[in-house]
Amino acid sequence: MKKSFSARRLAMLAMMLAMISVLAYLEHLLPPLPMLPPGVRLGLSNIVTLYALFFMGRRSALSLAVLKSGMVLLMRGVTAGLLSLCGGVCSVLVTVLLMALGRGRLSYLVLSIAGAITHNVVQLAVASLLLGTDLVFYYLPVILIFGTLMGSVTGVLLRVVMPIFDRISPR
Amino acid sequence: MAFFHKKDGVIILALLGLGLALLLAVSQWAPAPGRVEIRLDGAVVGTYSLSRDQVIVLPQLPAVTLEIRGGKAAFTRSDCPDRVCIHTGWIGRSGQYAACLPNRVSIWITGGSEMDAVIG
Repeated sequence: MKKSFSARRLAMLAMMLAMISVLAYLEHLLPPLPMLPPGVRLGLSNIVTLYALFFMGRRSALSLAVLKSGMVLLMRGVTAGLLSLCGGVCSVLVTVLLMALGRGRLSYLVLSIAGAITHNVVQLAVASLLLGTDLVFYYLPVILIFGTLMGSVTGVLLRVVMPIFDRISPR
Repeated sequence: MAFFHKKDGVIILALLGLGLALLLAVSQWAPAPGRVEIRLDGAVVGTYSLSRDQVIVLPQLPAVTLEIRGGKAAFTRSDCPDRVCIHTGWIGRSGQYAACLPNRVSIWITGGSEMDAVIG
């Protein structure tokens, strides 16, 4: 088993987790929009996770998703942490799947949208299970619309802040 | 892999279109009809389905009239001084209520498929 442990990578992931935590915290301060299911946010922290997935590998991205859920667990409790875990992990997995299926033909923007929609749908599904209601079906159209919009925003922002990431670690 | 492709716009529009289409479809899909519970002095004295338009006057309170119209209920006549109950207007969502305190009567909407859970 090749042990490609790199102190540099570890440090970078730690910094990225910090970025994720700050972004998640900040966007949670914003009031939720009326039409959206509670818990749906801009997903700014996904900018960082997406960078990890696209340029550092699946393990890094999954690690960040799991660790982010840990942060959410600490910041907002068990339920929120569980939702974040399921949403985040599934989001990364679906994006990985699409990357494999698309064979390089899907753009980062589309992948970002897919990740956003998946994250929201899975979170909502888990919430529905916990509450025993049929939330999912009613909010699905809204999630499609806003997931597309927010995924686009995240994708564009990733492109915009790429220079910052590059400065931390050359690709 | 590239950041953006030209056909991304198509994909985005398609997704938005699908979302809107589903939104319209879901709004047409009639949810299970709710019911309105009438409580007098705290006890339930009658339950009516919101799916049938009707006018209700309780024998105990001839001065108070309740109406069900278009899936919603409201106090439409009352002899109370403030008419707060009437001003509450039409209610139709599960959990909503209107009350006439001087007459000690209230109406509560129950049933139907509603989502009013708030998750952290």
